[in-house]
Amino acid sequence: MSVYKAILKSLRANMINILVYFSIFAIFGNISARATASTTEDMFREVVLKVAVTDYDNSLISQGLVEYLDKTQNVVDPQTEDPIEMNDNVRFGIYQYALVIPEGLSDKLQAGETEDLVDYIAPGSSMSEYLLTEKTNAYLKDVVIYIQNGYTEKEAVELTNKQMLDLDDTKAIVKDTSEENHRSFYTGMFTFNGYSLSMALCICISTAFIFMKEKDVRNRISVSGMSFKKRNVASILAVLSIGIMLTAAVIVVICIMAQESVNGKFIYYILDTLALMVIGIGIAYFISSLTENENLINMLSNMIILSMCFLCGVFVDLQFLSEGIIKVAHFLPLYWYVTAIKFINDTPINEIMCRTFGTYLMIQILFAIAFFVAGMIISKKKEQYAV
Amino acid sequence: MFLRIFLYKFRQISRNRVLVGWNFLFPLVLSTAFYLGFGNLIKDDPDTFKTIEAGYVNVDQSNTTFKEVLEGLAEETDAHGKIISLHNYSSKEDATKAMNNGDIAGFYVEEGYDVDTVVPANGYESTTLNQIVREYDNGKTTIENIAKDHPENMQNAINMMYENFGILKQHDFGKNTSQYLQYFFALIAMASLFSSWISTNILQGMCANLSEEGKRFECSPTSKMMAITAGILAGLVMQALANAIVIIYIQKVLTINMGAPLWNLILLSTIGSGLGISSGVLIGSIFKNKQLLFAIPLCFSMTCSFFSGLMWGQIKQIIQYHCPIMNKINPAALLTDSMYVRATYGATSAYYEDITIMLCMIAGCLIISTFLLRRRKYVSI
Repeated sequence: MSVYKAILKSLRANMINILVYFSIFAIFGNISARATASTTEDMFREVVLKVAVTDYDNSLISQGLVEYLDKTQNVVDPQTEDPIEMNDNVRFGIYQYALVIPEGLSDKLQAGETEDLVDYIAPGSSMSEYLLTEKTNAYLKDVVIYIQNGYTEKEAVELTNKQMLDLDDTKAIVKDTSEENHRSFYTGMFTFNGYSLSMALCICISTAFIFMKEKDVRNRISVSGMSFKKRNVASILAVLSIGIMLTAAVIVVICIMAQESVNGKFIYYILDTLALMVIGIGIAYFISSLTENENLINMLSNMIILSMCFLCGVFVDLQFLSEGIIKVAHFLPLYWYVTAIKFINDTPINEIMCRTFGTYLMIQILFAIAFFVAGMIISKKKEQYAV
Repeated sequence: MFLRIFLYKFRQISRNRVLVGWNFLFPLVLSTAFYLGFGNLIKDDPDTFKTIEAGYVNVDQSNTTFKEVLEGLAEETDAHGKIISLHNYSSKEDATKAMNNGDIAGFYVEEGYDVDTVVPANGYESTTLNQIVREYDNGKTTIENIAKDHPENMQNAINMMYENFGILKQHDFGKNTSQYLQYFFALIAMASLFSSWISTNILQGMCANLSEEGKRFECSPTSKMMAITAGILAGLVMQALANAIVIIYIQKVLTINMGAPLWNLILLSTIGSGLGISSGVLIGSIFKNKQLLFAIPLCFSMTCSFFSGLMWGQIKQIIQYHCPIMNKINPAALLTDSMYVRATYGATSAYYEDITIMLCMIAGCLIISTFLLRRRKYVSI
């Protein structure tokens, strides 16, 4: 019991690390899960874009256009008149489109000019650029046609606004065939968990392992009356307890955050997370066999886990990775963790517990065993050559 | 003496495994990880407009104006690229099957005067497909209104309706820097600020209250100013070299074009290293606790890097939108911004402004540190 307690107490030194990774998880995991969660749809909803409008003309036409955009899109203040700053805002998604209506637009349109009158800033050639340009162009084209065919400026703007807003009734029919959510909140949270839990496990358990290797600690345990078997069982139980405590804490955080989007697949996500816990312990053992320096442990954990997260679809969805990278990712444990999460998300609840899911879990456990074996070999060799 | 201290300090830093790991190896590994994650997205922007695969079912099997509109959109013209790629189906069932298989992003069903758009889910493609029908309906309404109020102008209105109006014009900034490059710029900024560890490490060996080595150093008859300058320069050279290797690795090995000339990026990262080193000297001269000398540079560099977009690419621009002054006092944001501006707009006034602020920060840190470090007296060591 004293060995068990000592290892658990050694965890105190890592409290700041644990808090940091849990905060990262709670903040960024939540943000990314909410941003990527999408549910089954049965009603058409048009994409609404953030548009920044600068109106230097202030005419009936420009005001009508701004009113139309305000009713159909999300019009925001550009906060600047500098096109470069607007471009940066568009490029980094503060808004998706910036429209600059120049002075004299109304006069030019009434005179029949129709080429290159209004400047817009958009991120290259994208869907949002196409949509907003089409909508704005269609609006101004209608106004010009009305004015050129006998209507006054006021009549033209009123008619155009009315018919443009009436177009909201033209809606597509959505035939969504997916069984449940496209991507649930759980999927987002548990995917991000691939980073935070692995990091927390690697750092905490590696330091617990090196605590056990400390000369003083080792000597004190050796002179105690505890048998070799008891000592080892206590150490293994302590490491497992740390793993289970951290994993349970992560699951509790997800439970609290996902109260609005509860679904019956939660238990399968927990199974996958337990497999991740075993991987985390395996990697931690492997790292602790390489070095006993806490700074190096921190650095190695960051290097190994961060690289795996980028390669295996934790930070960037697998669909955006190239085929070559995905092939390489097959040789990494986090890939199977993420694949299992995807499988849980996409499969109806009564079909999840099948051979495929079992295979994913088994592969993860095999990876953990591989890390343990590698760690044991390194430790043995180090002992043999007194490194 | 200067050269000797410089060389000794250089060797001392290069033999410190933790410093070499964090300041040199970690940025290399992280840049590789970024490349694996975003490399694809930098080379082939996922937001770029791609032709939409659209189906078309004409229940009456006749030639209609709407079909002509769709065929027009399926062709590449001077006014627009190929917006849709049209697939004709004989029945709704066939089109639905193709949509569910992912062959098409949606389909149109034309029956009499009505056109329905069927899509599998909401999103940009569905909105674009629906927008085509909306524009078609809008054109019909316009002509109907003119026919009612000004029938004499009907023909003119129809002719105008067929014309392509290019009222809008996209502002051209020359270069189109990918937003994902921001992560690489922020990574270089992080690596530069990590050099603050180097200077706290150097100062540890030069302060009598921090190490045995410091005691020996302080009672030696060497000029302290000269020795600290030599140490700082050794750290600067070390970090500048490490950064240069990281930049060359990103540009040449990972083949990511960062948009600015290589020498310019190396120069900027060297200024960044100077910033990291000088801030480290300031931290080292303020704090006397060994643990704090590791923790504070780490918190400083990671906080600055976070707000410059290392973990969340948008954050720097969000700050710029809501509180621009914060970007002017964050050294990592200044370095990131100078690289981004140089890569996207060239050597503009904003670029020189960033460099000037960074140089002022370096000078400020060093001047304050000089006052804090000179003529130190210890009551008890």
